[in-house]
Amino acid sequence: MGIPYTPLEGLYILLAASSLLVLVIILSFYKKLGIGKEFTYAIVKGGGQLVLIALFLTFLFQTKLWIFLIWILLLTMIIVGGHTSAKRATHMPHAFQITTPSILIGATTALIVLALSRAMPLQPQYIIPLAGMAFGNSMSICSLSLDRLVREINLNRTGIESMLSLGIPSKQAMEEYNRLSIRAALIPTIDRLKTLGVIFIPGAMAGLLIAGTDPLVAAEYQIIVYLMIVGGGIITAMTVAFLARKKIFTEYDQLAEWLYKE
Amino acid sequence: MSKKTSLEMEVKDLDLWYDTKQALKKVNMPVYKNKITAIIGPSGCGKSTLLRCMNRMNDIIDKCRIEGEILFDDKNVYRKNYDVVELRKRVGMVFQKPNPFPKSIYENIAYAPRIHGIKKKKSLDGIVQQCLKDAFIWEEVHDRMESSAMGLSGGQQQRLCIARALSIEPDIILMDEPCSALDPIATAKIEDLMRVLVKDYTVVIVTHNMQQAARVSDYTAYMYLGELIEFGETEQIFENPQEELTEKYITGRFG
Amino acid sequence: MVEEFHNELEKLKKQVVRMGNLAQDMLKKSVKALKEKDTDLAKEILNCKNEIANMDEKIEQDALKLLTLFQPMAKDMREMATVLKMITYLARIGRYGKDIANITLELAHKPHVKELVSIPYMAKEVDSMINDALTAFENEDVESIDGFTAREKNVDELRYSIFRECLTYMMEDSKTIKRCARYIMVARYLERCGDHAVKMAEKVFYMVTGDHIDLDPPGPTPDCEL
Repeated sequence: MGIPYTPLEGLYILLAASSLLVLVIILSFYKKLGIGKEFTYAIVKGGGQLVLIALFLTFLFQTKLWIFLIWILLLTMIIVGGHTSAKRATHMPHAFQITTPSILIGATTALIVLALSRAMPLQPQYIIPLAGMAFGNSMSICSLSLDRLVREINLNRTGIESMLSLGIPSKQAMEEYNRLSIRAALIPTIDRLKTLGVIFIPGAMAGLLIAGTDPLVAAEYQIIVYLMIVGGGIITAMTVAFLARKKIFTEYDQLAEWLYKE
Repeated sequence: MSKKTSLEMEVKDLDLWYDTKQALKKVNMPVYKNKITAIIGPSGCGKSTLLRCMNRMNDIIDKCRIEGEILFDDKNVYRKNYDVVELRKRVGMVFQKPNPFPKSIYENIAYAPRIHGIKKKKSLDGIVQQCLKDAFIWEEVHDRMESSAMGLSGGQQQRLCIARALSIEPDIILMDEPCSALDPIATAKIEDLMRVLVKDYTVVIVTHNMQQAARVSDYTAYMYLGELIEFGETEQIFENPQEELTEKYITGRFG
Repeated sequence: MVEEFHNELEKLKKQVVRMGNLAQDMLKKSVKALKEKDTDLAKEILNCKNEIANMDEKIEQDALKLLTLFQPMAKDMREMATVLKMITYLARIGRYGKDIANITLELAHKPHVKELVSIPYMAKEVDSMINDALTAFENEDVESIDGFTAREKNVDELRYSIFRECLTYMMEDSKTIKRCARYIMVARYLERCGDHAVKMAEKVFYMVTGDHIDLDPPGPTPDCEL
C-alpha cells in the first residue's frame, strides 16, 4: 500500500524530476519571460517548506501533544495565508486586516462543517491536510477576489463617483463590483468542478488512490472536499467584499486615496 | 443682475492641504441661488478641487487637511459627522467625461431615486420622463428607453448625465468641465440647457473655456495657484477685471 | 495664437494712429487753406477724401476679422471696441476737413470779410484736443485728456462768439451774408470735430480703465439767441 519507495530513493527520483524544472528555468531566462528568478525562489522556498512540514508532521503524528501543536500550525497557516494574499492589493493600507479574517472565516466554517458531519475525524492525519486545503483554497480565492475588486473599482472610478455624487451610499455603489469580484474569484474552482475527473484527478482523490483506497470512496471524499472548498471559498470572497468597503471608501464615502496609486 | 440674489452656499476661509502642498488658500466665495457661477483659471489652480469640496468628493483622508468652512443651510459641511450622503442628494454633480451607467437609458435615471426609496413603477416613470424633459433629451430618447445609454452620442450622454443628476432633485448642480469632451453643437445645447436649469437650480461650473464662462455664467471666479484672485459679476470680470492677474489670464498674456 | 492676436492688435492701433494723423492733417490744412485762400491746398485735401475712407474701411475689416477669429476679452476687447469707434470719429473729422476745403473753393473768388482770426484759433484748439485724444490712445495714458470737459466748453464758446461776430457783420452789410454763413458753418464743423475729440477721449478712457466717463456732461446752455 502507498508509495513503494523510501525517502532516500525518493530523493533520487526528485532530482531526476528536477531536471525538467532546470530546463524550464533555463528556457525562461532565454526567452526573457522574466519569471526565472521568482520561479526559482518559489521552488526552493516551497520545497524547503514541504520538507520542514514533513519533518514536523512526522513528529506530530507520534506525539500526544498534537492537540496543542496543531493550533500553532493552524495559526501559522492563517497568518501566512493572510499576508500572502494581502500583497495582492499593493497600495491598500493594512490589507491583511481584510485577508486574514476572510480566510479565517471561510476556511473555519468549512472545517467546522466537515468536523460536524464527521467527514473529518478529529485526528491530525485528517485535520492537517484538510485544513491545509481549506486555508490554501480560501487564500487563493481571497487573493483573486481582492485583486479583482480593486481592479474593478479602479476601472470604474468615475462610475462609482457618479453614484456617490447622486447620494448613493458606498455600500450600494460597490454592490455590482462585489458581485463581479466574487464571481471572478470562484471561476477557477467552478471550472475545475465541471471538469472533475476528466482533465485531472484532483489532489485528495489522487492521494487516496495512490494510498490504495477504493476509487468510489475516493470520489465520494473528493466531492466532500470540493463542497468544502466551494462553500468556504464563497464565504471568503463575500467576507472580502464586505470588509474591503472600509478600505476602499473613507468614512465620508469618498474613494480612498490609495486607490489613486494603483 | 437686477433680480434679487440670495446665498445658496458660502465658502469661507477655506484652506486645503494635500500633504504639504496647499491646494486652496483662504478661499472665500459666495454661491448665489438660481445663478450660474463659473470658476475659471489655469490647470492646477485648484478650481476642480474647490468644486469637489462642495459635495465633499475629494477630501480624502490621511494627508488631506481642511480648515475653514463651507456653509450650506447655515451648517458647515465640514463639521464632524456631517451626513455627506444627504449632502450629495442636495448637491448633484456632472463630470468632465460623460459617464452614464452601463445600463438602459431608463435605468440611468431611475437608479438613484429607486435606491433612495421610490419603488413604485409609476412614480419612477414620472421622474424619468420629467428629468429627461428637463435635460432636453426626452425627444431624442423617449422611443428607446430600454436601450443602453452607451449607444448615445457624447453630447446626448452628457445631457443624460445631467438628467441623472436632476433625478435626485438637488438644490445645486456642480459641473466639472462638462463640455470639454463635446463638439461645439453639443456644447451649445448644454449651455442652453444650463441657462434654463438655472431658473430652478443653482449651478456651479468649472471650465477651461473662457468664452463659455462668459456666455453662460452670472458670476465668475478667477483662481490662480489655489487662491481666489477675483470674484465678480461675469460682465465685469470679462469686460473690466480689477486684478492684473485676471486681466492677464483672460487676455491670454499668461506666463 | 494669442501672440499673433496681440501683434495684429498692435498693428491695428498703429493704423488708427496713422488715420488719426491724416484726419488731423486734413482739418488743419483745410483751415489754413481757408485762411490763405490757397485753392491748391484745398484741392489736395479733397484728394485725401478717398484715402481716409479706405483707411476707415480697411481698419474696420481687419478689426472685424480679429474679433471673429480671436474673440478677445477684457482689455483686448475694450481696445477693439475703441478702435472701431475711433475710426468712425476720425473719418468724420476728415470729412469736415474736406467740407471746409470745399467752402474754401466756394469762397476763393472773394476776399474775406476781415482777416480770419477766431476760426484758426478755434481750429488750433480743436486740433490740440484731437491730438491729445490720439496720444492718449497711442500711449494708453489718460492723463492728457484730463481737462477735456473745460476745453470742450471753451470750443463751444468760441463757436458762439464766431456766430455772434458773424451776426454783427451780416446785420451791418448784407453783402457779407453769403461769406458769413460759410464762416458759421465752418465754426459749426470745428465744434463738431471738438465733440468727436471728446467722444474719442471717452472711449480711450474706457479702453484704459474699463470705466465709462462722461466728459461732456449736460450743463446750462450758453446764453445765446440762436
